[in-house]
Amino acid sequence: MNMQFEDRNGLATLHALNKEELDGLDFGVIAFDADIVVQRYNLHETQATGLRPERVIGNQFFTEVAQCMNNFMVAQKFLDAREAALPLDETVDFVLTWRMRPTPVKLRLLSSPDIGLQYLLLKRAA
Amino acid sequence: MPQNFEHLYEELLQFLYRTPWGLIQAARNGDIQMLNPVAAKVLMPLAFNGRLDNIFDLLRSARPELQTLVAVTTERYCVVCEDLPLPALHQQALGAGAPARSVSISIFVQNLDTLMLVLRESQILERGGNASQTAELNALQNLPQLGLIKTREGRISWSNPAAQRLLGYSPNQLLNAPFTDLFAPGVGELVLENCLPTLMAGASYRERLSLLPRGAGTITLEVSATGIDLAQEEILWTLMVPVMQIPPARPQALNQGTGRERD
Repeated sequence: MNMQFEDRNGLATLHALNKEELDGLDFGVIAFDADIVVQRYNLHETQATGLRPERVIGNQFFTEVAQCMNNFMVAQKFLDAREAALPLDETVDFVLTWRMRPTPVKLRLLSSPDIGLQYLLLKRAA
Repeated sequence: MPQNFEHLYEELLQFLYRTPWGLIQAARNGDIQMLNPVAAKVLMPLAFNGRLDNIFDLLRSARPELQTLVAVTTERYCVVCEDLPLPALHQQALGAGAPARSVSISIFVQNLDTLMLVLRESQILERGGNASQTAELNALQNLPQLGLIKTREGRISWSNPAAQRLLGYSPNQLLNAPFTDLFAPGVGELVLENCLPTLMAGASYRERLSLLPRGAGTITLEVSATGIDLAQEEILWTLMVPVMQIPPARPQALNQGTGRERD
């Protein structure tokens, strides 16, 4: 699978990927449902954070998994898009704390009213 | 890594990821070495270049005195400050009607090279300053640096123990004393004239100034000012770190407006 972080049709493509294809991507992917509960967590993200999917899937994303994104720069954008029933495709510069090290990354926020999961793509900044 | 260690390492990581307080390890110069997600969440709005490199750079607008506070600390292990409010980092919780949250910082010197910092969020119970002001004053009670509040009328309404020690006056002697009496004639008025517009413009005020402690000549200090209620011209003066002390004594008494001399 050679889907790229910046692919224009990112959301539909990602949503169609099975687990193995998701694990084959060279960037992190996390998907959560309307209740913000994590449903998908790929291998790249596991390697970055040190947490296996079974520790993450089923947990509240913004309060139990990624508190660092529970702010207006990330969480609020997902909430606003959902509330307004509008698609979201935005890339933001951010600093994550993978294994407690400050790591500059690019985040791509993807959601659409007609797709049940919301996706967050994470790629280490160049 | 053996399976058991791997499991324990993962548990430790998860514990740190979930910790509700921001934890940061930094070098003495402020370069961030490690931080947890809550610390990143609190600091990210200040990272205009999208990076979290140096804690003192990030907090310069909120607390310009932090780097000096650490620099003047020579002990190997000590508390530099505890629960010092960071007014510029008040967070609006997500969701309509959710209460705002205030952020405070504690800094601990771990050894000669390392700092541990804790960022703590708490709900602001009372909007408009009273709760955060109380937190600020509580924090300053324990700081080794001087803290004073000047009212609109130009009088001192509060002082911390460090201010009383450094200036040589009791709390009662400082209470209601004219703020300008702490400076050489004419200097205090100039300080106030420059400070208020700076704070009103949203900038931080920091100057090296000479004060007149009781019977001890002059003390030159790094002075920071923070607005508590700028509409009321109420200003908190903090962190006056002695830079040099000049001995010539002068007979001194603070004037409370009654003209009487203090003992």
